[in-house]
Amino acid sequence: MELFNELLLGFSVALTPANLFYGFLGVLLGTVIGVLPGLGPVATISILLPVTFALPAPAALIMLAGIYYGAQYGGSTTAILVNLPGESSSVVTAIDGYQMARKGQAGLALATAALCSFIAGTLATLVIAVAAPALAEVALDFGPADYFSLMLFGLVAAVILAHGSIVKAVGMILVGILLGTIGIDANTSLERYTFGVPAFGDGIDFAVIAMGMFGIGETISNLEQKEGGRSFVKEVRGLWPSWADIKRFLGPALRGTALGGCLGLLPGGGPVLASFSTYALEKKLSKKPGEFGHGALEGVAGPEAANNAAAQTAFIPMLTLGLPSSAVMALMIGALMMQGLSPGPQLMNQRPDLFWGLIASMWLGNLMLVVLNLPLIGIWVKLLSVPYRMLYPAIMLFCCIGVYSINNNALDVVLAAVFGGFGYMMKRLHCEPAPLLLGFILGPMIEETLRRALLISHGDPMVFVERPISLSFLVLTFLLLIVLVAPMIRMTRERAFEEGAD
Amino acid sequence: MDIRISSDFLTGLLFCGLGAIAIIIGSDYPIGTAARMGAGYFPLLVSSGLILLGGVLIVRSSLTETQEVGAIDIRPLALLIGSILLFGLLIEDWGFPVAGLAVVIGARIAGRQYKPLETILLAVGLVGFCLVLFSYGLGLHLPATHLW
Repeated sequence: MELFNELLLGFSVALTPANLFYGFLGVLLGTVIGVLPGLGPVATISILLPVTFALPAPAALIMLAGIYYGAQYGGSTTAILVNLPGESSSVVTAIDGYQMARKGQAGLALATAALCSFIAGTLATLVIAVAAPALAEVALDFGPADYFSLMLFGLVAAVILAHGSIVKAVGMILVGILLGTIGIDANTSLERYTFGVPAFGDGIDFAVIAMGMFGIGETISNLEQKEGGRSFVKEVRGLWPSWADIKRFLGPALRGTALGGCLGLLPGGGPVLASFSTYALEKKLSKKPGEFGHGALEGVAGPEAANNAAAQTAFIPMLTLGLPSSAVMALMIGALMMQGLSPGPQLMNQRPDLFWGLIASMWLGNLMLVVLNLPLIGIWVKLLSVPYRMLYPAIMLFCCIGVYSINNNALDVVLAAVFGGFGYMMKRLHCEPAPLLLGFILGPMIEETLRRALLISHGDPMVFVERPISLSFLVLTFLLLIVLVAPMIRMTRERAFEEGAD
Repeated sequence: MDIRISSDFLTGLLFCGLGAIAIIIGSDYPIGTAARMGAGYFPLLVSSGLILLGGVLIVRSSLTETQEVGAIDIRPLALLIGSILLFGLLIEDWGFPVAGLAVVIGARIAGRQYKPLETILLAVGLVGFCLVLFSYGLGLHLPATHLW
């Protein structure tokens, strides 16, 4: 009954009026930015990070987490109504959701998306409640070598998910790690790459890089593209699904939750991979695969459940190991650190109110989101008609305010502009910004654990294969690498065969 | 501006360049031994890896046909970055209202369908909204917002 008591503690924290309010604010903001294209959870959380400093730790985390999973709900609304995924994880939802909307089933599609997300959110919250304490127990035995191998595994896993070239993704990770070395070296207190600027002593704030590359860089590429006339379904009718519909989407929702929940645990994995793989799975399992792409209910239900489950379980490595699996989780760790808390296996025992309060708030937040998204759908439809030319100057202003308020330092704004240009350039070179950010976040931890592991072993690299935990992560990393390389070999061979046939 | 160079080649060049710069600047940092790493050990490791990957990209681009970079629209790039730089330069001496107006107007000019009146209204409205929300509502300390 320990779990029950702990959950009770969680709800007692999450149900205080102040925390309910911040949770509601978070999911509301999340829905708004999910609906609006061009402003993602990364930029929004970065902007609000300085603001949360004044809040108590549970309220701050509850609000920021709400933004994150709220954006998953909002993103599917735009995907279904406009065929314009507000978030990258709802790209798959747009395929069948938009087709359903065009057939006049917009209400059913939206309801399916919201209800499946809710089912997934509820189950994933339970999974976190059960799995996180157990994992934290194991994590207490982790030594520096184990952490090092785990992070190596995380970085390789992140490469799989980057679109396009693997070499470029690895390169971006290394650039990120290099950027992470800027500042005073913690072990020898020597200044590295600071160019004599005192403000660089603490390193570059990752919100500066995140907002520069994601916020500013993306806006530049958006402006390059012509603003096409968006045709969207304005009328939403028949919101409540029939019993037959529910029976139809329950299976895909549960399968999506299971698959998404597992993939969400992977560093660098998360909602995008989850929704894509679930769509593929449902298409394979379906008796009528021809319906997929033409408004199959299962094509909305599965991926929506999966991306929400993954968004939730992504909290597990963050809460138990202190490891960020994505940019958003890194921002969460930043928020924890600003509160003077160090994320890791000890967090759960030191601050059970924070840990269980956050978990309870996730379930409450999911409940609020169903209410926000179904009966209030009309408001979001109106919000969609705001033209992009009015929207992006606002995004730029928010970014500027956000970056400036991190340290009240104008140099950060200049740096963000530089990273904006860099982000745009890398985008044009087909390099993804996400691996760079992950490298930047994990870089200092990788260096620290590498140093400590080798210090303990007197410089003997065998320490990484002698410890069982470390060895298993290295083996996993190796297996992943083979998976990574294999399709590449196949593709190059196929291309060679094609050329040979010509 | 149309760049008809392979994007893989340019990326490789960039990776090599960044790696080389990091090694050159970091050449003063003590390297130490594996057991007692100096400040320069880890950066050297990472930069060498970066140069290696850059080399792979350059070699690969000469062996197989790769995508070209293509057309680049200078206007949004230069104006958007410029307006954010302007915000950074103005914020401390001129205060948030001036810097905020500058970035909104600059960003709006960077895009298409620029309309002066709409831009001014948007800029004033947004800056006013942010003043109320961030400065008074959320208590952020933005320069020159508490003069009156």
